[in-house]
Parts: sequence; C-alpha cells; structure tokens
Amino acid sequence: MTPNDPPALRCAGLTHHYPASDHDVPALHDVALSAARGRVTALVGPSGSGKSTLLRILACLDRPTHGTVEVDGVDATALSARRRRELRRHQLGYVFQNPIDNLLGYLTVEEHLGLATRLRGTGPAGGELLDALGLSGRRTHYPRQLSGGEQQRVALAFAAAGDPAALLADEPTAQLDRASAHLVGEALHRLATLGHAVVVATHDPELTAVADDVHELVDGRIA
Amino acid sequence: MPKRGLPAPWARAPMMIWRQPAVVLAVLAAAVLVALPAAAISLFLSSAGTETLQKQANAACEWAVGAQWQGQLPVAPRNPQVPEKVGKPLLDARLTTARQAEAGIPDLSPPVATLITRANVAIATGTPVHPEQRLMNLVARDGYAGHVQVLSGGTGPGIWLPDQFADTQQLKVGDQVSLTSGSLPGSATAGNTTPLATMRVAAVYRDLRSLPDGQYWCSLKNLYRGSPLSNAAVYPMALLSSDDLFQATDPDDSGVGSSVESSVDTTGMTTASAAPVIDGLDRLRARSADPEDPLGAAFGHAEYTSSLRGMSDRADQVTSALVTTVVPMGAVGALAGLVIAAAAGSFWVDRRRAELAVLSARGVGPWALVGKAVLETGAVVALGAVAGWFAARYLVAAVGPSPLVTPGALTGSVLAGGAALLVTLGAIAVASGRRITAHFDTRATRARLWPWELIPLVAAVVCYFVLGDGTVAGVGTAGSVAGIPPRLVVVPLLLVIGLALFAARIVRWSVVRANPVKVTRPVSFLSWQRIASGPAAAAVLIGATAIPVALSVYATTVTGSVDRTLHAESQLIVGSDLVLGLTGPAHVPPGLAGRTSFVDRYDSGYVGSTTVNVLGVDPETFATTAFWDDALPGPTLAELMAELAAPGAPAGILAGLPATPATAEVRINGQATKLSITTVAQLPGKNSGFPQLLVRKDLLDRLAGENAHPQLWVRGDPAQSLAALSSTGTQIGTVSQAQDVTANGVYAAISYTFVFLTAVSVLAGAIVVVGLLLYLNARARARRSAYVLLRRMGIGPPAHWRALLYEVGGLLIAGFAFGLVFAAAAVAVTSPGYDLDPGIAPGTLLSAPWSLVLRLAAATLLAAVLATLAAQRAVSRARPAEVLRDTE
Repeated sequence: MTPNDPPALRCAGLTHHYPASDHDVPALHDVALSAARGRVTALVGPSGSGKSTLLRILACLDRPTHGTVEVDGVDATALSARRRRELRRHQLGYVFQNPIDNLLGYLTVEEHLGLATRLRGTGPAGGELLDALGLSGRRTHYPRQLSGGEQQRVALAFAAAGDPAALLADEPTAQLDRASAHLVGEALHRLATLGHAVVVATHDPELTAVADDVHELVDGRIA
Repeated sequence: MPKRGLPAPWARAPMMIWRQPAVVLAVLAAAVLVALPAAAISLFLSSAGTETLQKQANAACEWAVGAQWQGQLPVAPRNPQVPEKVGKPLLDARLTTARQAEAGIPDLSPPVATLITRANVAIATGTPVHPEQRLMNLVARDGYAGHVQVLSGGTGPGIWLPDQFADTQQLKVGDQVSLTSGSLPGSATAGNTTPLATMRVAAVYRDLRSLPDGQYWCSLKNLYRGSPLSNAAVYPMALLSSDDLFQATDPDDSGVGSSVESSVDTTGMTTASAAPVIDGLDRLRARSADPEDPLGAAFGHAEYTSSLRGMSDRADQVTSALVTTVVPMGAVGALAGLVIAAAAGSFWVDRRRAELAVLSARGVGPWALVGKAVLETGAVVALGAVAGWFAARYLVAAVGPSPLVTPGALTGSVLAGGAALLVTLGAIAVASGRRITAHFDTRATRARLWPWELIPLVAAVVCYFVLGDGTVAGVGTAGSVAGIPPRLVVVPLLLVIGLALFAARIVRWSVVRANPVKVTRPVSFLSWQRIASGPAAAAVLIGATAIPVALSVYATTVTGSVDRTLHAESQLIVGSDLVLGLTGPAHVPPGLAGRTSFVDRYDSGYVGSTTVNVLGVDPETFATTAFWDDALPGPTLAELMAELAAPGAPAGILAGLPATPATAEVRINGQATKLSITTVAQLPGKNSGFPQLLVRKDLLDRLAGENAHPQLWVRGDPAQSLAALSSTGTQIGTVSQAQDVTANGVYAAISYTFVFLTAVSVLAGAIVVVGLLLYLNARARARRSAYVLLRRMGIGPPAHWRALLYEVGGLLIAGFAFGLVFAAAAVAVTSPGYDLDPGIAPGTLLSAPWSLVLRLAAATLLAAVLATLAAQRAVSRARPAEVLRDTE
C-alpha cells in the first residue's frame, strides 16, 4: 500500500431515489467520500438519513440513480452485473445488522471461513483471522451455539476471509450489549490494521471511538 | 489444494428443504398441480376416445360391429347344367370358409348363420282362424333355442311359433301346421297354395316384440319390430332348423335370405386394442370382394359389412374435436399450477432470504442461487410430479369418460409428467431468480406499475374474433361430430384470468389508498390493518379465489345450458322421452299413469296443397306427456291443448307453415274438413321436413280410420317404461327415444369437454387452498409476534379469531363475489354459442347453476372458518419469551 494507491472505496456525486407509484422518494443526494485501506470510516446519522442505502451502494449490492462508486480504482457503476458480482466476491465483504443474518445455520465457524476462501478462490487461510478476533476456540461451533457478539465477530471473519479490499458493516452492534459491542469494535479496528478498508454505519459510540474518519449523513447528504 | 465438488450450500441443498415443511408443502402442491393437468390431457383424450368407441359399440348391434355377410343363398342351381353348391351345402361351405378366414382375428366370435324366408303358416287340418294373418317370417338361426322364452314345448323337431301368432291362430304344441309359399303378391310363386312342408308345432315362445331386445336377436330387430322409418307391414317370426327351412322353401324361389355373422367382444376394448381387430375385419372385407379368394368365392355377391372401423374413426374424430378444447384447458390448468410453482419459488426465497443475502453479498450470482433453489426443490418436485401423474391416472379412471386408456396415452402422460417436472423446476427457478435479482444488484424499475394484466384481456378480444364458432368438429369417413367451439373455452379462460389479475391490481390500489380512520372497532380495525399491511397478498388471494369460482360457475352454466338446449332439441324431435309404435293393443300399467298419452299419426294429410304430418292427440293427456319448455316462444302446450279441447268448431295447431289462414281446409285420407288453425313455431314430435298439424284424436280416427298409426308417448325413464309396458304384453313395434338422438357419439366431444373443464375447476379450487395456506403461513411469524402483544392489549383469543376471520373470510368472500361477476361476464359474452345446432328450435336455453353457487359459497365460508381456526390455534401456542426473540 503506497500513498499513490487509489482508496479501496471512493464515491462521488451519489444520488439515489426509490421509485414509488406517484413520486420518487429521495434517499441520497450528491454524496462523496472515500475509504482507505487500514482505516475505519464511520457513517453516522439519524435513522432514515441514508446510511444503509449508501452502504449497500458502496458494497455494490444496489446501483445508484446517479454518481460513481470506485472499488480499488475500478468504476463499479459502469460494470455489468456479472463484473459487479466479481467485485463483491473478491474485493468486498459485507456484514448485516442482525448477527444471525450473516451466517449459515448449517455451517460451523470453520466451514464458514472455508466457504469464504473458496468463493474468493484464495487458499485455506482463516485460522489467523479467528485467532486475531478471539474465536480460535469456536472453530467447530455452529452459529446457534455462539453468543450474539461472537456471531457478529464470526461474521466479520467470514467477510474478511480471502483478503477483500474493503469491509462494510451495517450497524453491526445494534443488537449487542455493550461488552459485545466493544469486542466488535476492537475486531473492526484489528481488521483495519490487517489492511482492509473498513466502513461502518453506526449509532454506537463504541464504534465511532475506533473510527479514523467519521462522516455524518443528514437527509441523504454528507453534513 | 482446492477442494473438489460443490461448496456446502449446494452440496447439502437436497437435504435442507426438509427442514422447511411449509416450503415442502408449497413445492409439492405446485408440482402436483402442474403435473396433474399435463398428464391428464393424453389420458383424458384416450379415455374419451375409448368411451366413444364403447358407447357406440354398446348402442350398436354386436353382430354389426363384427363381420357380417348378408345376401341371398340360392336353393337351386341357376343353370342345371353347371354344378354349383346351393342350399345346405353352400351354407356349410360359407360357415367353414368364414371360420377359417376369421382364425387369428382377436375377440371375434365363431360365425353364426341365419336363414330367412317367408311362408304362410296355418293349421294343416281344418280352417285357419284368421286366414288373412297367416304370413310369417321363417328364421333359422344357429342356437335360437337358447335365446327365447319358451312358454310351452321346446323338445323335438318342428316349428317354434310366437305366442301372439299361436294365440291368434289358436295353435298349440303338437299341432301340425302346413307351410305354403309366402311370396309377396306379384312374384312368380305368388298364389301357390300347395303345401311346401307340414311340420309339428314344437314350441310356443314369448313374442320378441313383448320383451326387451337382446343382443342375440339384434341383427333381426327390424324383421320382428319393423323399421321406425318404414310403414311396411311386420310379420310374426317363426323359428325352425335350417333343414326345415330349406324344406319349407319354394324351390322356384331365387333363394333365401342369408347372413353369416360374427360378433366382436368389445368389453375392455380401447381404440388401440381395436386396431388389430379392425385390421382383421378389413382383411375379411378385401378377401370377400375378391372372387379368386376362397372367401369371396364362397359368399359370391353377399355384402360384407362391419361397423367397427367406422366407430373407431368416429372415436378418433371425437378425440380430435376434443384436442382444441382440452389442450388449452389442460394448459391453463398447468399454467395455474405454474403460478403456484412460481409462488413456491418466491416463498423459498423468502424462507432463505438471510442465507441468500449472505451468499449474494459475497458475490454469488443469481444463476448459482437459482441452482441452489433447483437442488433444494428438485426431489420434492419429482415427488410431486409422480403424485400428480398418479392423481391424473386415478381421476381420469374415476371421473373421466372411461377408465380404459391406451398404452400410447400412458406413455404420453408419463412424458407429460416428466415435462411438467422440468417446467415446474423452471418456474421455481425463474421465480426465485427474479426474486433474488429483485433483492440484489438491480436498478429500481417501474415495470411492475405497467398494466400488464391487460395482455390476457386483449388476447381474449383477439381470440373472440379469430377463433371460430363452428360446432362441427370433424367431417370424415365416419361423418361429423359436434364439438365445443374453441371460442367458448379459450375466450372465457383468458377473460377470467385477465379480469382476476386486473381486479387484484384494483384491490391492491384501493387498499393502499383506503382510509381506515372510520374503522373504530378493535377487531375490525385489526383485520383491516392486517389487510392493509399486505395489499399484494390480499390482492393475490382475492384473484386466486375469483378464478376457480368463475371457471367452475362458467363451466357448469355452459354444461347445463348446452345440456338443456340439446335435451330440448332432442325431445322436440322425438316428442317425449319415449314414443312407441304399437302393433296391437296396449296396456298401460298403473306405474305409468299420468305419464302416457295415446297418439295417432297420419303422414299424408294436406293443408291446402301442402303435405303435412298429422298427429291426433288427446288434449287431456298430451300436455302432460309431450315435451315442452316454457322458454319456447308463443303459447304453452297446455294453452294449445286447451284450444283443441274447447267446444265449437274443430281446431288444429299447425307448426312449420306460418302463412296459413285462421280457417283452412284440411284433407286427411281423402276426406276434407274445415279447421280453425292456430300457427306456432314448434310442436313436439316434428321430426320431418313437413309441417305438423295437431288435431283431436277422435277427429283423426274418424277421418283416417285404420290408416293412422297408433303410438304411445311416454314420459320418464325409457328403459323402465319399456320394461313396464312389456310386462303387460303391450305389442310394441317401433321404439323412438329422445336419448338416442345424442347417443351416436355426435355430441360426445361436448360432454367430455365439460367433464374436463369441471375437473380443471376443481383443480383450480385446490390451488386456492394451497394459496390460502401459503398466505397464512407467510404471515404466521408476524401474526404470532403481534398476537403476543395484542394479548397484553386486552385482545382475547375469540376477538383475535374474529379478526382473523374478518381478514381471511373478507378476502375469500370478495374473491367469491368477483368470481361470480367474472362468470356472468363470460356467459354474457359467449351464451349465443351454447346452441350447437342453431337450425333446430328452441335455441339457447340458459341454465343457472344456483346449486353450485350455494355449494361454493358454503365451501368458501367453511375454508375461511377452518383456516382461521387453524391459524388461531397456531398463534395460541406462541410463547412470548420465544416470540420476542424469534429470529427465524
């Protein structure tokens, strides 16, 4: 990673509307930001301000109405659906708000990481990741055998396995207690130090505390 | 080293679906609902073809179905100088040759020989009681003794006489009778009174005319009963051996009537198994026509006939006529099943949403996810397809025209079931794929806002003008058969589907915009809020209810109306359920009291210079016996009979000659009389092209005397009426039944079409039940959570159940009401086509299916009550602690 390397994630002029039968509902307006590897970027703002929409667009799950999203210097908005999927597979990891929604109930922790590396076509890494996130004793456990905080940390490991450029997490501590939220915050910070760009939408001070950059969204605009 | 094989989410997919019973149920039901109509098409067509064949065979004389050689059998050489076989040796030769030629043809009986000649039969010593009634048909038929009811005698050689003849001539067993030439006046041997033979009366048997007709005698029916279309005299039939018959034959006659015939056992015969029999019968035909062939040489100029090929051809025609209606209906049924399959696919996505979101977020594409859907549902779909095939087989066997189907149809249905399996998987794949791409990686679109349900409505309009309304489905060597015009099937199907989709959109739009502020009662408010929270689901449930209701009501209306119209037409042609030509006194048993009327018929009357058929009727009994439908134009039959019965100048009711003056001169049997004439459009019994005149019976009897043919008209079940009259010894000649008008397979395609449409409607009803279960199941989780909270707000179980009932029952009742409206619309558009023979009065008679509507309403309410009770039971089991942590 050098200073001349493009940011792992960058967006500019992002505008997004949700269509309805009689009028469009605006969600984002002319949003621009970037997230570099090794840093934790937090998106904060009230409910309905557009955080989740922005995160889904950055994760290439949705297309914006206008604007561009670059992943590792590649304009994702200009790509076909297939190429965007490839980007998601190799360069992006995404963590949903609900811990259990991030995991497959019929796979153990170890199998989750195996699936992630297989999908990304990388080697069978992941042991170190579990060690780094304090989950080494949970390798053979199923999601139902884990606490909410552990589930969310496994979800982070699952998202990070295979070394994607960026990790995006949508309010990952919203359903966790304070202690678990603290551990997740530490995990996010640790993942950033491993070289990932981490973008997290949150209300949680535990997460904003570990963030290197904090952007506030108000009514779909960066304040 | 990379792992081989599929990743775990795909490798474990086939076992994962079993943890989701609701998805298994939905997929299983969808596969059954697609496979059933698809597999049923070929089975049903084959069943209809077989039943058409069977019905024709059962209605026909079994000897006519098989092989028949009919013609003269010479009793003396044409040229004494040229030796040739005649008489008994020739008959034996024909039998032997026929037996050899028929060897190897399946289901064919050994040949039976019949000889027919005519003779005067009278007591040998003494004076005949009625010398003018001595002429008899002499019949020698193999095995006759086993097929008559012997009243006396029955042993020893001699002649067997029918009881009516024996009674008239006062002959009894043991008497000697002389047989003299029975040639008709004008023939070379007419007037020869020298006895040809004298023989003993060996038996007296029950006259066949006073018994129901049996199959053994059917090829001689016209001989002993006379033809319904002929006024020729009918003579009693004496039975005797062939040797005695030859002895009683005038050697100067050219020969005797002869037939050699073999019947076909059509029990269990299908159109496929009939093929080798038909081929064999065709070979016999070809050989009989070849004078070089031993068979042709033996039978000479005898005519060979067999009706089995014609019956088979007609069965094929009926099948072809059905294709244009049954295939679209089956396709619509399968299409409706595919809608459920698509819903099941979407349902699967909903149940797998979290997992799919995880995989999609990690770059797994829709094709791979669809592959997972196929892997998960494949086994269940296969199971459903197999169950659907068995259900189709069972349904066709149980309620189809015939349980017999051809092996080809079985193969076709298996292939259709296999195709249904693939198509169902395809529908699940497409629906799940669309659902997946709708959630992940799509641009927002307004496509769903387009009124695409107008497509079937536009298609209905196009089909109305493009599709024909002809009712003649096929004209070929076997004649024509009537078929339902495709317009009557395709247009309503498209119309109902389009209207249902459109109604669903309107409902959804209305629910979103409706203002529930005025709903203040908690139960009503709760049910309304639940409907409003899922307008799409509510709209789908209403549409899914409306379609089967509309289709079943429409199908039943058309079936009833076509049946009523055909019934009226056939009854008008014959006159009543049963019209008997009488050859002697009739004794009406008490069981038929009030349902019979004596009528005289005279076919050569004149009104002015126009030939008319005249019926002499008893006004008191005719109005209650003859057929009439109040939908017929003009005065009722009772009013017309009142005119005939009124005192004053004799009156006549005339149909088919509209420009007749109020008073006209009528000539009957050479005698003229003035009648006051009332002209009407139609009268019962008008079965010829001539106008028909109804007069009082006493007037016709006075004018026509014995030249009028006595008839007995009977209302009610013809078989029972015939049996009752036979038991009283009523001497019946011709028999005309209204049901025979439609018994020749002409209308078979129509009957079968609506059997299939009704089955499709029932199938559609099953789709509603599955849709209802999906509706309830899809919302069960939210409902369970809500119930826990509602309990804390004071909503008890009864109130919650009422709210459920209002919600589900309201939607079902709305769907039911929409269905009735759609059915009425379909009937309004197509009703002119229900008269399949517009040339025959009375035109379309509509039949409203009130009974079905009531039953459907009851079924709808019952479904709502049972479904909501089950849903209430499910939510009542919810434990707050679990519900509030419920994440799955």
